[in-house]
Amino acid sequence: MPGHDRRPRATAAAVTRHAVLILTVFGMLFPMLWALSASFKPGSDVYGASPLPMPATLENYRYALGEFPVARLLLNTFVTAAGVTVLHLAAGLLAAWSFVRFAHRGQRVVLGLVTVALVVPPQALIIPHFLMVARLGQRDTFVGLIVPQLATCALAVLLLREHIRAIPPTLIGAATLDGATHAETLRRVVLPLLRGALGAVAIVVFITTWNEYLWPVLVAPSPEHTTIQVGLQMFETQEGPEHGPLLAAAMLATMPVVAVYFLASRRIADAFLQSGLR
Amino acid sequence: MFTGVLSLLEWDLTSPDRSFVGLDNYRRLAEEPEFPHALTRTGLYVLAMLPFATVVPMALAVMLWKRPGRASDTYRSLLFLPVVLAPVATALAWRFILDPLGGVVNLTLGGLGLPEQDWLGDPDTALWAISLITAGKFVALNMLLYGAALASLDGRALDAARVDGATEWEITRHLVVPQLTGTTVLMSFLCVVFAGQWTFTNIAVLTQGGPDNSTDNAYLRLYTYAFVFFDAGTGAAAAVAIVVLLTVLFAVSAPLRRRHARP
Amino acid sequence: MTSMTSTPPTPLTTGPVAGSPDAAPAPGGVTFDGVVKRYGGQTVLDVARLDVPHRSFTVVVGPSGCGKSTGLRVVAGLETPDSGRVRIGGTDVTDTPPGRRGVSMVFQDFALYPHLTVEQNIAFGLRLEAKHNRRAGPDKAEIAQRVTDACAMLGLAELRRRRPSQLSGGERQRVGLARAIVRRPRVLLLDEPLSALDAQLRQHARAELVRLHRELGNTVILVTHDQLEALSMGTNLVVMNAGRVAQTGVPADVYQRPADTFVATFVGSPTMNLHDVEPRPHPAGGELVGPGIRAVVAGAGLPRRVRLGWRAGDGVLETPTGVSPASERPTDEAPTGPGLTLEGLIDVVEFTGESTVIHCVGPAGGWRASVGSGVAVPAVGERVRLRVEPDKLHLFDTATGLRLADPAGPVAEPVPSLGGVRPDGV
Repeated sequence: MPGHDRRPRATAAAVTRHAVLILTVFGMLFPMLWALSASFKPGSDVYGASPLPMPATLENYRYALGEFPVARLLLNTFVTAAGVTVLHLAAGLLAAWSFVRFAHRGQRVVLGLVTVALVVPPQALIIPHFLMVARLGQRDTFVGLIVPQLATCALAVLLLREHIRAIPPTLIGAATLDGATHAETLRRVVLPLLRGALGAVAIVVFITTWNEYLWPVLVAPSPEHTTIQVGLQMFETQEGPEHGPLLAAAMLATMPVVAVYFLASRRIADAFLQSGLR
Repeated sequence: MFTGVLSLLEWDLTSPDRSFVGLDNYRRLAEEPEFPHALTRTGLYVLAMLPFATVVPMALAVMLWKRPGRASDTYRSLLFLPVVLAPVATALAWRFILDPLGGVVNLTLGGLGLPEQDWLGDPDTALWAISLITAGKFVALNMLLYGAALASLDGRALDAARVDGATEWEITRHLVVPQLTGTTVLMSFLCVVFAGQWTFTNIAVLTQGGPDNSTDNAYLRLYTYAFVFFDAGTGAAAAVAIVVLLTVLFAVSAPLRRRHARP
Repeated sequence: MTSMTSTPPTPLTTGPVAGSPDAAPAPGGVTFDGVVKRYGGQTVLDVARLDVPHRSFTVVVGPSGCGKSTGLRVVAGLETPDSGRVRIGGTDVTDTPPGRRGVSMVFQDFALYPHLTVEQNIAFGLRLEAKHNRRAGPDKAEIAQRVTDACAMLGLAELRRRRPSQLSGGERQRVGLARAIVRRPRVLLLDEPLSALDAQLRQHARAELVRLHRELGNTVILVTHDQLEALSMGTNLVVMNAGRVAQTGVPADVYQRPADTFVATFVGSPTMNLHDVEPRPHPAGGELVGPGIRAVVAGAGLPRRVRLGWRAGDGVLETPTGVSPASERPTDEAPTGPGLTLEGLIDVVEFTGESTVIHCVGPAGGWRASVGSGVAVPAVGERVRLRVEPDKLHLFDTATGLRLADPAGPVAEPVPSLGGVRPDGV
């Protein structure tokens, strides 16, 4: 921290450091901040050069929510993200638990495959996924939207496996001696101990799914089911670019996540860190 | 697996008739200019974003690590924001400020007497603009990963250097940065893997690969084959080609990554 | 530290045991019959026969990796043997799941459920039992009563609502014990339960465990690598080496008549001195000679090479200045009486409080003698001579490592053994 050091050179260094960091933050967030500000500007002034919306108005938001199904899109997005998150947790937990509990010889191979699945780009999977969903008649349904996104659960499996492995084996042994079945050990001993890891997985999966663009645009393009990220395109194709309401809707598409982030930025960053380091 | 089978077929995704065409789809990929072009552009994206995946986040992480405290925590959480921001919303915000007619960037440039640009509409600048937009996410995430690597450094070795009279800069240059080499190798690899994936949304929203295919990349090409031209076979072939390329890269870089793997 | 000394014995001792109408604990003797366990081609446990008597406090001791913990886990059912049968109270339990064997276990790290309070930890097994077996299982009131009893017995009444992270090491150990005894096991298994405690606490906990065993009256099997625990706690000692049982018996017997050189050096501290010597005929029986060492023993029919052992505390030290507990004057001529005579130079002197350990070097190699604290200690570099009475000598066959006839008497009776390897050559 600056100020502790009385030497002028140190003070200059501290000032430089803060200047660099502030400029970087500003540079990285500028487009978003500018768009945020513009979304409160009245329609005639959206392109105005003033950094702050003067006068500020909610007109764009009212228009976006009134004339476009933005509320519905947000609800769709929430349902999709929540559904994918729950499925990821369930599948990840069961798979990870069976990896640890029922170790067998083929395990290394399966584990290797799961690791490979981590690197396979989702874009390479969309064609077969799309075909399967189309075949099963699940295009433009929540099922078709949610279930194939389970394909990326390799991350959850590996992360939870690490955490289950970190549980002392004696604890599982103690539960076994206490007469607990596999299911009881999982539910009463393992699950409570994994709360932190499950929370981390849930955060990462929820945010990633909330922000997902490619899959919903393909499989569920209609406003009844598609997510807000796709829905933003409606502002252009239907009415021509309506910049004010578009920006307002874009803010609505990202602000829920940002708001949650500011409530628990430390935890969320740690969650990404854990999953990033795997 | 299914993708692999598909790549050998000629099929428009919906009609019941599909025929086995063997490696025709792959030959088409290699012979027609689009896919090699898309691969080249993907390489350019990687090159453009490499510094933002390595040097920039490393510098930021070291700066924040050197002076822990409330201020650094705040910077860190702000710098991480691009990871959680919705890519579509981010892309739209950028398009808004880069708007050739009323965007604030050109207004500012014009105000300073500098030449205005259609950043996303000009084949010479569009790819770099997309790279810059995507770079924010790399900086944000990798800063965090570098931060974790720094946190696991042995502080006693650095204290020993301080006792030996090394300056902070010398410690950074000769002790800290070399110990981050493993992380840097990993970050470079992730940049190769994710450069194409992460630019995808921005390209799809902002330029759709244009102008003049200048912002195309391999993933967009695969998407175009399959869902714009409804040529599932060629799309799948492109997908297989991408996975094979990445796997080869993964295998070739294995010794390098192993040598620098953190203990 | 609250201890169960302040708590009167509870009805737990005489109360009915789960699943048994008897007043006394159900038979809890444990028998291993040809039990073999392998890990990836390596045999970690190979016990032809082992009997752990009902109601005994049996201590299993051995170096790390000797298979003692694996053996304990086989009793618990956490490991399945590759071959052989395990019986508890005469019933074959080899294929019985762990929760139904009537055994409970305290783990080395205590393995407390970190997300549960002390009382929830203790009640965990009972609650499961109640859920699995609604008719015969314990009801709520009984669970509460038994948890209260167990807490009282181990001085945990004040800590019932704490979580494991809020407890000290000793308190955690007692919670682990309470969780194990609340299920009224026929056999209580303790896997190095004292190794996580600091030295002072450990001594106290040793006594508590012995007292707990007396109050419970069931079978206790304790695994340890600490030979002090091995000798001091149990009524029955099992020494293991390389997956096999090396010797079983009452601790004092094992100490006084180790069955082989492994047991001789592993049990007892400082470890037994061993010297390779050559037997020669002698009117008294046999004369054992090596460089700088000579002993006369009664035994006859000795093999060609003999390993001679004596415990550090059994030697009587003679120095040129005459400081000696036996007040024998050292002489330059070779001693002729029965027993062992040994010479050496003092290399290191270790004061341990109640005694002093002297490390010597000589033609017979290095050896250690222990001198009581009342004895004046010779200085480093001094030449000393040491005598050991014939009845304190141990003879082993160099080739097999097994114990030979007792050097003092004409014939030695067999080493008391409940199984395992019987010493040959007796």
